[in-house]
Amino acid sequence: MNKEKKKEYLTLVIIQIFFSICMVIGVWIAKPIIESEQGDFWTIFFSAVTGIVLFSVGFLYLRWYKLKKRKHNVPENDERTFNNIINAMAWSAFLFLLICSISVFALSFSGIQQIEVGWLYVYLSGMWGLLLLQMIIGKLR
Amino acid sequence: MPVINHIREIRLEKGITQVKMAEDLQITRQTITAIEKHKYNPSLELALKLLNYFDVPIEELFELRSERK
Repeated sequence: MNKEKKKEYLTLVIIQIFFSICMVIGVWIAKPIIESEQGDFWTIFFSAVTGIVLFSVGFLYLRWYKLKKRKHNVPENDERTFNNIINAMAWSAFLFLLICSISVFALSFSGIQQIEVGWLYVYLSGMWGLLLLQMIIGKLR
Repeated sequence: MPVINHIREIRLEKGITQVKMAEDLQITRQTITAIEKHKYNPSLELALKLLNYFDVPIEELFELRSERK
């Protein structure tokens, strides 16, 4: 693995750890503030929002620091970067829908009879139908 | 038939670094590396920018090479 790749993976790991720390700080800040009958829901909601805000502020600061330190005017994104992002998103969507379709089959044969499971079955069936439609349209093109 | 480019040779001939080229064309250095290693074909827009940048005819920059059987 070359130096650049190592640096990339290390950056991703650091971002993940930082994100987790931000979420923990968010929970720690929000929990004593929110006290009501529905405290659990609002605790989670506000802690998530706090975590995301902390993470965004930290991320923007790191980005500003990196841009300030840069000595040249080379952009970080271009046409190839965007193509890679779009391809990655397409593959992620495909894999997600594939997992959904497998879950639908597993749920239908599970024998569990509850309203929530039923709604989940409907939702995942919809996702699976979307994948099928996408494949048909792709094949026709 | 794969598209082959001679961008690296022309760039070195003119004494242009990858960083300078990336700054001038506003693309990433990684894209330049990918193009020079024939791992990425530039879009039409970028190809025309490259032609203007190096001021060479298209056949000198890009060519179609038949695959060996």
